[in-house]
Amino acid sequence: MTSFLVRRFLFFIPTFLVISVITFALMKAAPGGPWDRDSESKQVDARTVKLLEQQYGLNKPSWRQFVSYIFGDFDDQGAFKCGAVCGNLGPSYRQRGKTVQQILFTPPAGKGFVDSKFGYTLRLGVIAFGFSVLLGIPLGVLAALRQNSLFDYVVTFFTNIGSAVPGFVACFFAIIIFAVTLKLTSVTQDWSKAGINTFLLPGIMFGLNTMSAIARYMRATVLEVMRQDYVRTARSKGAKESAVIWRHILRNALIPVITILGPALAGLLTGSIVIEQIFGVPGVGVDFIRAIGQRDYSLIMGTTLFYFVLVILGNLSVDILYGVVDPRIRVE
Amino acid sequence: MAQTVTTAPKVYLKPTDAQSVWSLAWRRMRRNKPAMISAVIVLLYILCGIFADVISPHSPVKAISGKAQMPPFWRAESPAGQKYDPEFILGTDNAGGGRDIVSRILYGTRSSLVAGLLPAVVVLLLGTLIGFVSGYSGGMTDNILMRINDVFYAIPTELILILVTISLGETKFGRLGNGIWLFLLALSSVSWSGLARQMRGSALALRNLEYVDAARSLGASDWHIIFKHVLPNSIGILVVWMAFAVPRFIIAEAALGYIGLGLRPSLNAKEFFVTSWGRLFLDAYSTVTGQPDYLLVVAIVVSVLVISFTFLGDGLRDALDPRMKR
Repeated sequence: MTSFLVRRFLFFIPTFLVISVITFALMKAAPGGPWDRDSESKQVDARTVKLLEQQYGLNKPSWRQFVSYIFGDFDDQGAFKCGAVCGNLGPSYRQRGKTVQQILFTPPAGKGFVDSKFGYTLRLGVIAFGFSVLLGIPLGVLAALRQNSLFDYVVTFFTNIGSAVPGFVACFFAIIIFAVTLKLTSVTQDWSKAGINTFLLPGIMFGLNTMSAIARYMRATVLEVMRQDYVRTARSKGAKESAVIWRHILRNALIPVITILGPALAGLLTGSIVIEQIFGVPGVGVDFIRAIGQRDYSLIMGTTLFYFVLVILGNLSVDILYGVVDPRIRVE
Repeated sequence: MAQTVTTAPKVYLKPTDAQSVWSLAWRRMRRNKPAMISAVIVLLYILCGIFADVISPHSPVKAISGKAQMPPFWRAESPAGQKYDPEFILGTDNAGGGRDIVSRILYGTRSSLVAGLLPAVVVLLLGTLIGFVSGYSGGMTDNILMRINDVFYAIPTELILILVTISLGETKFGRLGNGIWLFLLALSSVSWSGLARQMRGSALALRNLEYVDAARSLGASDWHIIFKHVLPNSIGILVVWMAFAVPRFIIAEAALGYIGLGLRPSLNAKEFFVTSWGRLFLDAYSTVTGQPDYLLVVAIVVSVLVISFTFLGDGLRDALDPRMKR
């Protein structure tokens, strides 16, 4: 297990570098720089641009900028300043006086972490995840235990549709029904005072795809486990039906499902850009889109790298969880 | 010596008695009602896309003044007081004047289908080629290709897609063909890895089968074996993959279009990409409080196609590979 984790980590390094190079190259390929084409604030004159470029190191060759951003560089006094690998995502080019990690993770004064940019994205993702797991698993199990019943057909039908209809289209339906027609909530919400109620509709709609996928997967696994010999053995021994279901069927059927939860959570945390845009959630996504438009290089780079690490951790969790929940599987 | 030849009555097998894999699959497919209905729906959408310019009742881009935000057929009067006009069955949008929603959706169908099909074909070719080469050659080539694959597999798709389309959107390449080429490049570069893995697996499984060994011992070249033996055995997987990939790519375009990226709409009705479903979402969502019916219609149009593709894909999978049947 340890050697496996070490190997996975060693593989993580080249992957991380490739992603950084791709992101960096794309940013640089975009025409324009952080200090022009700005309609929002006043234009910067040529001398200031030069000074700014010097301050941010944009006058250095591209490879040097890349290396100093990722690994770090020596400043004028010769002191070494560590880069993205130490979690220092650099100063934002557009939001003066703030570093990228401050923009992403520091809440406004007097508020808790959940009110930071990533806090909003995190809350949205966690609510969507909670909804998917708490509804998806029971639905899948019950549908399988009552295979070919009316309940099973209804669940199968709706989860089929729920996983086919894209999340953001489902959001539009929800907005038309709940906000415009029934007026239970409003289209544009006050996110500064967001409570669980505010997050409920976006969270559930965002989790719909994942919930359906989990329910379908759960149903398929339970059906498969129900046909195993050891379940028949347990029944023939005269074990109580509840014991068969809880101890033999569920415990074994949950193994494959648990392992997809890590990537599912990572997907929900990093995949909410469009959903945030629809509901106006002041999370990472909206800022990311703005940052690309403004060529805020360090913010773009920082967000991409951070999300990338989340996805990697999610995928890695599959391998670890497999080893933990199923002792038969030994990771080589 | 007279020779009397008594021939036993020959039994001729008519060619129709032999059943190919495809005719068997077609038989199974025909029995699957949801899949057949879905196939018809998908075909209708494709026809609508191809003949968008013929069947559109109005121009998709010309705003008719005084006819903005007309109601659809199920409402006699819009909130703004416009009466229903049978000339505009689904009503009109608001762009200085009104543009016929039916025509806009038809033109949008055309671009969105192209935006779904074109990347699907490119990814299909790319993924199959890489997967086959990797699985069939093995060794160092396989190792290198699969490590590259791992990297692409770990990429946060949505993020990179947005990053690519925004960074290159204003370049010459990004403007080419109303943005379809950039969209194609961005989407295929983040999508090929899954299929390549699958095809590698199938090439690995087939590589060591007896008939492939037999072909090799008869002196068949590698390419011959790949095209004549390995590929035909993977067609089923590829067909099913297509049925699931096309709607996924259409959705990707719609999502990008909604945040103002993806295909660029043209104001010239003669050009190919007048609008797309993503742009329609963007337009319709901006007027959702005053005119929810517009957004509703677009969402239904998109959902019906996506759901049909899913049922079609399920049906194809069951028909082409009965072992995989759930």
